[in-house]
Amino acid sequence: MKIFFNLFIAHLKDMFRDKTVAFWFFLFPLLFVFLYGIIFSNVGSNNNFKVAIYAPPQSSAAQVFEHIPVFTITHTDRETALESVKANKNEAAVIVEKAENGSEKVTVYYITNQDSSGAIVAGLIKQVLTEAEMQYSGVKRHYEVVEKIANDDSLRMIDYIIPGILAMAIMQLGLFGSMQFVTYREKKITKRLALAPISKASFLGSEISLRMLMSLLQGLIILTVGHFVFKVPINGSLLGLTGIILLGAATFISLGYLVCSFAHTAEAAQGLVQAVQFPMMFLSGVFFPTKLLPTFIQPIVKIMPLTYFGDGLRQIVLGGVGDFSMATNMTILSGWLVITFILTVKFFRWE
Amino acid sequence: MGVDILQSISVRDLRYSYNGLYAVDGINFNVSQGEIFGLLGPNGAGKTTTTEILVGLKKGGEGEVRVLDLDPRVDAKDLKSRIGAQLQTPALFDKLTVYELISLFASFYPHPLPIHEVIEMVGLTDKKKSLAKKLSGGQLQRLSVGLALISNGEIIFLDEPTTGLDPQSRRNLWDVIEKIKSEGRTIFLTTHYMDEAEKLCDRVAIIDKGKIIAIGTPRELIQIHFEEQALEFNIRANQIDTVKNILPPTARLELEDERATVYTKEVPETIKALLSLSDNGFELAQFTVRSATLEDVFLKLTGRRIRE
Repeated sequence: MKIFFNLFIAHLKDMFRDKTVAFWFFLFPLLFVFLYGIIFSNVGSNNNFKVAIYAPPQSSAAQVFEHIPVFTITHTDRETALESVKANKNEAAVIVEKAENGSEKVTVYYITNQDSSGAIVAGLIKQVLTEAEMQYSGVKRHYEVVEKIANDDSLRMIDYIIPGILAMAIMQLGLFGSMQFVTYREKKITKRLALAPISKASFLGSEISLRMLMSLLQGLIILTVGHFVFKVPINGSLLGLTGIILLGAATFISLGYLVCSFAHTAEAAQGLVQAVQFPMMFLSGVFFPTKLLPTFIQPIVKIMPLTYFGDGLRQIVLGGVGDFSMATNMTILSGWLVITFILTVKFFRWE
Repeated sequence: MGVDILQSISVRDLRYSYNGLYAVDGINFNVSQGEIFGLLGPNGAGKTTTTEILVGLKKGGEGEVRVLDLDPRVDAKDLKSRIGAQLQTPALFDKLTVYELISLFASFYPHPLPIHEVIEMVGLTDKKKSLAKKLSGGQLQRLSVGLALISNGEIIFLDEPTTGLDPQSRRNLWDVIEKIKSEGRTIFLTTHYMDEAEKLCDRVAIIDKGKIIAIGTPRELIQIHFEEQALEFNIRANQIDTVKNILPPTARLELEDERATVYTKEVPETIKALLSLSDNGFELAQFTVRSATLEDVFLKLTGRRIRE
């Protein structure tokens, strides 16, 4: 036990004194979190529109607009209003003109791009003015429309992505982490240790425990940042989270040792690991739902362990429903663990 | 075992093959307690294979091997806690310091030496906080010897401890090895440096192509194989026949590049003959007279120089 602990500490120091390790296993996934967080945290919940208004004094329409809470209004002249929309500084320009019969003509200018804010502003204005018109003329109402969101746990893109990034980080830790062993083997450190009266189990055990612990640390860091910075809800229990993180970490560590059993040098291992991790990173629903992928890719999606780890992790973190049942996720993930473990034992080379 | 003095190592008819080729082909030797025993031979002679069997890294092979009265192929685990060993390539956890590595290895053994004592002994006191990857080749080799020493093992195995080192580092390491010897520890050493074997070892076995071709103290080996002394001087190709003609019949001439070595029992006669040549303009540049060395023994026994 003392030997195990000392080897654990030795691995820990050997790993963390290499600054690139901290980068790849902790900062790199965090970078993804921030990148996606900044891009996506507002999508689906954008509730502020900048509107430039040019209206004559005493325009009743302009007064109505003041009461729309999601509008941030600047009053300006006609030309500046139009220019500001073209320059994408405002979502819409509203020009109000008095007609000869005393009514007001409201023109909404907006540009079309991926973001439909301009159209939303135009729709809002139409709706608000129609409402005002009805109140003004005292028309009896025949219809009432009430809007309600059906899924009260509505997911933002960032909520979807953060558990995916955690799954990816744990996969990379398992796969790339195993390359350390190839280096130890290539540099005959394993052989040197075999001269000492220590068991191979305590050496490998200390290495694996370190990775498992690092995966929990990744979970802690990524979910903490996700929760406190990007308001990702964390509904899962601590036990459930720890459980699935450890199962996923064990599966990818095992897969990592298997892949590395076929590599003689650290460079060869790097290539093999890349070949395994790259398709998983993009085809397992880490960054976007797998439903968006074409049908012919679906069979590949359905055999990759990251698909089930990501889905399971997402379900536990967010507490919602996923693409697969939790039982399916756990069964397939455990299956991968058992099969890669058996194959690793068969192909593993100490020297 | 039928031996009078206590044997630390005894090897009988050991054979070991890789794909049918015998790397070790029927070797016999004993190492007594407290002696430095050297296995001397060129690269590929079977030194490392032999060492790896003795320390319990390699299983199999034929013949009888006893180390501290254990069979390393059966009782490897017990044996490993009673010996200290060092490998040819001194690779370690790169990013651990000298102190951390030695104390890590200390924790592997039941009765390790004090950590500071070992660091002091291998002369790394001022480097104890340096990362392993920052050490020079010589320092790394001394660290590697330190990791073998920390075990407080009854036998210390050193596999080519000075290979690839500059002369200064080699001499530093020799001092370390002599210090270990002065403590009465048994040392099993392999080397392909003749001077190293001659300087450090109580007894030497010369191994070539998996077979031991001579065994004894360095002095014995030289005396048995050489009653002659060696005269060396520079020579040009067109002078070789002239020199051959004037040498006494018992003298032998060996040539390597532009250097001639004459082995002879009749030193005064040979020198006289050579000097007679110098009257005719033959230079005898860098003329030296020396006793034979293990290098000469190896050359005589195998027809080759050891470093080829």
